[in-house]
Amino acid sequence: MRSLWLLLLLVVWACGSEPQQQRPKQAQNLCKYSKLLKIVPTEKGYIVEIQNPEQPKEQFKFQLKQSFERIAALSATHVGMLSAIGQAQRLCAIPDKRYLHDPQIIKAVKRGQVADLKSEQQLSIEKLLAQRTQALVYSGFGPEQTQIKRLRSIGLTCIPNYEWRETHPLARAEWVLLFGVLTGQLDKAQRYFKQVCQNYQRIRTQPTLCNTNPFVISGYVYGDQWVAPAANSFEAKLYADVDFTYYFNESAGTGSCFSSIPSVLTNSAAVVLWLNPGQPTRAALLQQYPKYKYFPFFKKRIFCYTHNTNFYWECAAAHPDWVLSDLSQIRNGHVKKLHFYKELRQ
Amino acid sequence: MISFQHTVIGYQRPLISIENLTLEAGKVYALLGLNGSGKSTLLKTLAAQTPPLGGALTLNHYPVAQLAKDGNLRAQQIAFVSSRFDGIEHLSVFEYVALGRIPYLTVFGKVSAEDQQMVSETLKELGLTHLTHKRTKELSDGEKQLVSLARAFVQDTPVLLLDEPSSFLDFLNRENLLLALLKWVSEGQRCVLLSSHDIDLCLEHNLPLLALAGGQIQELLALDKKGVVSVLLKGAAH
Amino acid sequence: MNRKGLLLLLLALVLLLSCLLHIHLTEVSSSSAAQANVLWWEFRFPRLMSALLAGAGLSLSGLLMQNLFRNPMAGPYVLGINSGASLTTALLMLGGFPWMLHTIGLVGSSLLGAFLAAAFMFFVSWRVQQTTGLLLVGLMFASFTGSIESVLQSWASPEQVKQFFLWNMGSLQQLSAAQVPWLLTLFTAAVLWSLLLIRSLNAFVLGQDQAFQLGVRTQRVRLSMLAITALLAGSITAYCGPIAFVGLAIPNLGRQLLRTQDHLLLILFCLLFGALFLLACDILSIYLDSYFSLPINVLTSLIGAPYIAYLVLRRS
Repeated sequence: MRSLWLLLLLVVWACGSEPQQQRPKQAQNLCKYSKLLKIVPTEKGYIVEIQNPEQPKEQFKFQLKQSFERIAALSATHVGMLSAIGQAQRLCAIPDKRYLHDPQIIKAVKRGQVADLKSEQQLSIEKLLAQRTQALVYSGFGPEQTQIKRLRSIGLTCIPNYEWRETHPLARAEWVLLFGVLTGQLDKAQRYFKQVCQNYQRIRTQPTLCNTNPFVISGYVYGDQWVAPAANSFEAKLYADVDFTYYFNESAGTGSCFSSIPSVLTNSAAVVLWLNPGQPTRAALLQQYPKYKYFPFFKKRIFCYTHNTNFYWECAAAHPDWVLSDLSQIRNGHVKKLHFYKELRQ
Repeated sequence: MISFQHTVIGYQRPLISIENLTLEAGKVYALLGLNGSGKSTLLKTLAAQTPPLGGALTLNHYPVAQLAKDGNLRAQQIAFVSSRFDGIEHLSVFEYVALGRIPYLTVFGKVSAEDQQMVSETLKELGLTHLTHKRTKELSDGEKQLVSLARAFVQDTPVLLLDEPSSFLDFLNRENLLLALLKWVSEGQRCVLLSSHDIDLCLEHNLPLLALAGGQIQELLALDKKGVVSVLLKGAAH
Repeated sequence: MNRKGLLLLLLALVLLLSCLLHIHLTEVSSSSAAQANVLWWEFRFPRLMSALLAGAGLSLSGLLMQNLFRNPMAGPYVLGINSGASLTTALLMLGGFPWMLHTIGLVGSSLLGAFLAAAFMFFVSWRVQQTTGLLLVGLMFASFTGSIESVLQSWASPEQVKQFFLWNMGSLQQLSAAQVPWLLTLFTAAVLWSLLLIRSLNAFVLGQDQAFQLGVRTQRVRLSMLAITALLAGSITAYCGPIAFVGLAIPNLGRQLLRTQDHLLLILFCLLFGALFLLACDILSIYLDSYFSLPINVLTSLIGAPYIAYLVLRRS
């Protein structure tokens, strides 16, 4: 009986002591916004911890002691983050040149200096090896792929990048720090990120010119449904930070939300602004879905980034301040210089 | 009823030539011949499925070419019980026999009360009334043969062609079949031509025999079985 | 009125009630009469018509195919008629032939593909008599067109791929008010044409030789059947995407329930029950919508495929 008590005491002590050990580590974490990324400096280098948002039990832990000269990226966003800290020259392979913006990188692909990997689904190990790849950054859609596991087994450092699952735009941009660690340019990345945060906060706290918050819808018809960013997504956070009242504020989730098309049609009379319709012109919108003409907001102001989609996908994640600046100008009605957005002509 | 004049029959190449032959109304003709002698080709030509290669061929005074073109005329002049009937899923005996009335129906295929009456009577005459509502897939081989004869009767044509109708029948049903055919030709301007290997049966009922051998047709008169066989063999040897 | 007639009458009644239910379920409260008008004419009515016409039309084309090939497993989907329509649509949407979009349009290309596939399968059916052989060729054809579509997808822009992917899922909600008359016209023409063939269809049950002996102009009827099938499957596929199993399952169910080969009854059954089936699938998808959104193709396959498997098992 006594030994049982002792055992119980031991268990309680063991449970209680564990968080105490981790606390100092958390204090050293360099990431302030991100819920998925932790970067902890150590004497020899950095410990990078990445949480898989789909599987709470899956955590990736990397001990990075030196930087990488040759990095392969599987998403345009990763390319943009490397460019943001001036390290794009370390790219040895890119996702698909059709979806890239940076003309320098596209040129390098055409010259054969940078390999075109096409897609995460049809990843070619041969191409990666031929490029003498040291590290691979992938977006980690769904469960871990066998191909990635295979690459790890031959000694390639494969790092998932879940920036697209963050719910705050600054948390997304904070993944730039990961690229800072990978390229040995953490100081530069930190300076960059600090600047972005300052810009972001400055725009956010600017006094607005009009008193009422504009009622805004986002998204487009996809198949039989209306698809838009959900209320807890980073897009919705951007809308909130420029004082938009977002149509899907009541929706659940941090990714996309869906709504029936007739319900959007009937409940959107007060919408004054339509963002991200997915097409760069009103004619293209009508060609894609002729019934858009019945939506009350089809005749209101519409802003898209799809006239230059690749630029948005490559650079928006690393430059949330630019996106916020665009939205703020759109909100105030005084459009001077938009980075990503364009108004659809009447 | 059926008349051949310098008729050349065959499929792609000549197989049978018939100088002059007339089949009369009121008779059941038996077409005898070894396998490969061209019985089926001859029947198909008469049924207007294969055109003759030369000469003249008329059925009930209609040239066969006209019959080949005019569907309704063809169907009202010639009925053809070709090979073995296998039965068709979801099709009842009554529905199947009623299909024989198709040449007389409107485009919507509505079977009139008169047509139905005719189907019932024909089934009764052939002693098949008990099968009326049975599925054609569930019939025995002999029943299938008789039922397809009923369908041909219902088609009510002057010319009836049968390709080996007795092959799946037992001796009792064979008798019934021949008696039904003989009765049928006696009821109007009708003529039956059946191909068969059953020489005994044909002789027994005194059917006029046509021997098909060596590309020729020969009317056989007053021969016994031995005589018939020797004609068939001799012709084949040519 | 006999048992079969009663069944058809009952079907018509249930169909009518289902239409009312569908109309009720798709109702959304609207702020103005003008908006209610738009909702009805652009959303609810075309959706109802899509379900009715696609269900009825695909079932009818399946019935004709099964009659023509004398094979209960035939149908526009299995025999690759849909695949043909799908392939030409893919060429149009993905292959970068914008001139095609202007000259013949989505419907034209879909019809063309359906006709070509029907003609091809007909040619094959001359040489391949066995059921399984024919179905295998159909499957091969479908997988062949599928591969070509994949090749086209790797060239096309993501926008085009997205559009084609959606079309391929099948939808009853893409039809617009302006397109309803077109689909209705093609559908009505095909139905009237097939009504004129009933006598020949009944004769075809006995095979083409016997049909010939019963006075049917077999060549002309065969071509008519192919044309009607391609017309129905092609136009429906163009507007609603490829919808599986309706054309295969409904005619078989009709023969099983009615126990007949009278094509007047079978055509009526296919029109009524086909419409009812797809409408019921759509009603189901409305009910399920609050939980998850299922493409119509998924629902028809979920219900149709096990039934066909059951038929095959029962036959062998």
